[in-house]
Amino acid sequence: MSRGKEGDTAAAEARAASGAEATAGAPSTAEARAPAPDLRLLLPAAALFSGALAFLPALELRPNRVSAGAKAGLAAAAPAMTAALAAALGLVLVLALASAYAARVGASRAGRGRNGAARRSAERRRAGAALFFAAPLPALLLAGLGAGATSRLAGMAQGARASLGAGAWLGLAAALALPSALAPAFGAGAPKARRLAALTAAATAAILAAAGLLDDLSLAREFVARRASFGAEFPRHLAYALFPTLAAFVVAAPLGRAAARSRDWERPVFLVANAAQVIPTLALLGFLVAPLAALGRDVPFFRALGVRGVGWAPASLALFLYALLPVAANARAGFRMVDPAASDAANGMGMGAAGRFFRVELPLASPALVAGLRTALAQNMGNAVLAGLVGGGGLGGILFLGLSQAAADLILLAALGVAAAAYGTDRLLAAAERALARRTAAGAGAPC
Amino acid sequence: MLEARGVRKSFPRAGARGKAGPAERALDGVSAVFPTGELSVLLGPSGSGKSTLLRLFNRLLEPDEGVLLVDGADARGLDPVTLRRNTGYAIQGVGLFPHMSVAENIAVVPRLLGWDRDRIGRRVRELLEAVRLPASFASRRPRELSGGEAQRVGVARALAADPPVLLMDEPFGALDALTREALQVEFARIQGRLRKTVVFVTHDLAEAVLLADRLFILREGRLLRSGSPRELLAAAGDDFVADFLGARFGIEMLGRESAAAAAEYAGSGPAGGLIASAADLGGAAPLGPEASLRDALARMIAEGRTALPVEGPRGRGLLRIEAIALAGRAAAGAGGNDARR
Repeated sequence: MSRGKEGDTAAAEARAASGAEATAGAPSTAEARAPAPDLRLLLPAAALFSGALAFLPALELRPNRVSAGAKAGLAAAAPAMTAALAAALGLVLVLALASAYAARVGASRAGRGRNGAARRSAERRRAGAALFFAAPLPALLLAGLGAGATSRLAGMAQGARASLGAGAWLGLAAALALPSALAPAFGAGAPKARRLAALTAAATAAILAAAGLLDDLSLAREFVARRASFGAEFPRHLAYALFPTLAAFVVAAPLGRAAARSRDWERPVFLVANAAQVIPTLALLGFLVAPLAALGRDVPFFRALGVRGVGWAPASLALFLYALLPVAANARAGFRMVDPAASDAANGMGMGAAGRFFRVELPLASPALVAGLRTALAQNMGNAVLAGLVGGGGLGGILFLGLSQAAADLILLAALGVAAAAYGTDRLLAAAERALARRTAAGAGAPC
Repeated sequence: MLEARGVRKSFPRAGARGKAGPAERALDGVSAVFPTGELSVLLGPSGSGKSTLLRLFNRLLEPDEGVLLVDGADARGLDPVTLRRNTGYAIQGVGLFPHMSVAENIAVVPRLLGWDRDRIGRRVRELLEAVRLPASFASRRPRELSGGEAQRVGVARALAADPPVLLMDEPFGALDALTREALQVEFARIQGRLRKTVVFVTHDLAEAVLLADRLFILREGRLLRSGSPRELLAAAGDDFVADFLGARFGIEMLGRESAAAAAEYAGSGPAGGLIASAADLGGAAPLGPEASLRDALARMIAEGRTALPVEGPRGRGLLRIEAIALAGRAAAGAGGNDARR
């Protein structure tokens, strides 16, 4: 039990550190006990938050966007906001500790069953208040950083930049982990509490950004400077991920079904799919450049399409090949999971081949099919960066431009776009998968 | 009436390295008649070809040689889909569709046949009642059912379109002993009312004896012997059949013989005078009119008696242990004293 809980805590910290997925995740094992905040995550997160902001530079002030610069702490750059942050964190700690203490005392009194319901609702109110102050903390920190950047850049030259320093990054990660530590206090409502906290943080940050409070951070300046190109490359990136994956789905899902039924199909299908998966990304692109260049040069049809050794063609083809394995493997697993007795019964009751497929097999395999599509799409949302390497554009183009200029904030901007796209599509399809599994009641454990 | 004439069927056996090996003979010249309105049990060890024979009748399999007749018509001339929709089919794995409710599962064939909604709804309610499931089960999902409940739904689904013929492949094979017995009795009751032409595959002797109007003993693709259970008890006619049915056969037969019919009544038997005085037997509770000879024997063993009073349709009678021992012989050919109906 305690081992599992430590594992969960570590996982939550890892998620928080990645910064992309601080709030969604596996339900905490702490729910099995009396609902209480998870102090083993809360206290380290709070310590990290205050320590990082107190001792590490939160802002880096540079005379221009690529050169090194001077470091500044948050307290010095934005004293008022720092005080507000400290107050909010203090409130969160006091409320959370009170809630944890009450839960522990309550658990020992539970045998006497005194006012159980009233006590639980009081605890829940305390935990709710703690979450109320913890949820906007990351956005509040961003506001502080924005204010600090504004005040520090005021005396500097036009092209000066204020980037986030190590303290800011660690502080943000710790702040994003706080709701995960508080959520167990809500018992069965923990996932909902985490989701609410994530929404609050995102909405608050969006409002701050819209109000212009973050405008002086270098990230925002990069965005403003590249708004037009970001606006063009983001949809292109989505298209790179989406269309080759859908094409792979159309091709590989039927092949996966064929492989589920006969070894004669399984062998060649997975030979190709596995091969595409294990060839290193850059090598695969390298392999595609020469043949595609020849095709575009010598075959009028492909020339008319605009196929060349560089550009959209090798990028799309590589992404198509990468999507084959997850789609085919999940389709194979999904169609294999169909109960043979159900197929036999369907056959014996006089369902035609089409009826069997559409009314029995497909509904039962559909959660696994969607799981395959989800895996492939999330994977390709990341892989689509490679299009930038072969001149195909997309967010990869921006990212590699940033790399070539050593402009850290430009790289970050592109990476944030990629992460948001991958995370968003994954959540969207996970919801679809859950809905399908509920309907078919069979796809509980669809493998990826 | 279903009939098989000289049916042979082989399956390719998977050989080494995925090549086809020598063919395995599943049916080796089987001829049999399954009369209308009777429950015919195909009984034999695994690999005897009984499931293969069953699956030929709804054309899930095709014979290599020989003819299958459904009400006198060659099955090869019938459209397999139409044939299957008019033939109930229940299997060991039940094969309920997990994404459909109980009602939708039962309604599959009626819907394929294009019945209207009201008729389907009525039929589903009727069938749930027939297999003794509460009407509230209609909206449940198969995963919410116990094994016994699922197979009740399986039987209801097989009966849904009121097909004249029912093919059942070890339908109760995967259930625990108590549930199995309850479903067997239940199904015997339903069949007593509906009188479908049933072909029922099993390797369970007790089940075969309890349900069968007619037993067909198969071994290695050949039909060794067929006849009513009593006929087979009187004369197995074959060493393997005698061995296979074994000593238990007589005991299992007691399960379908009525205690009331085997009892002696005042003024009717050689011991007629004794009945009136012996009828209370020191306060032993009388057997009810539904009791089988197996129930009677179990009571005698439990209570250490050699005779029990019986409450029969002709009044209070006396059942002696001798009557149980002789029941199989005495009843052979007599008919009519079947505890099931």
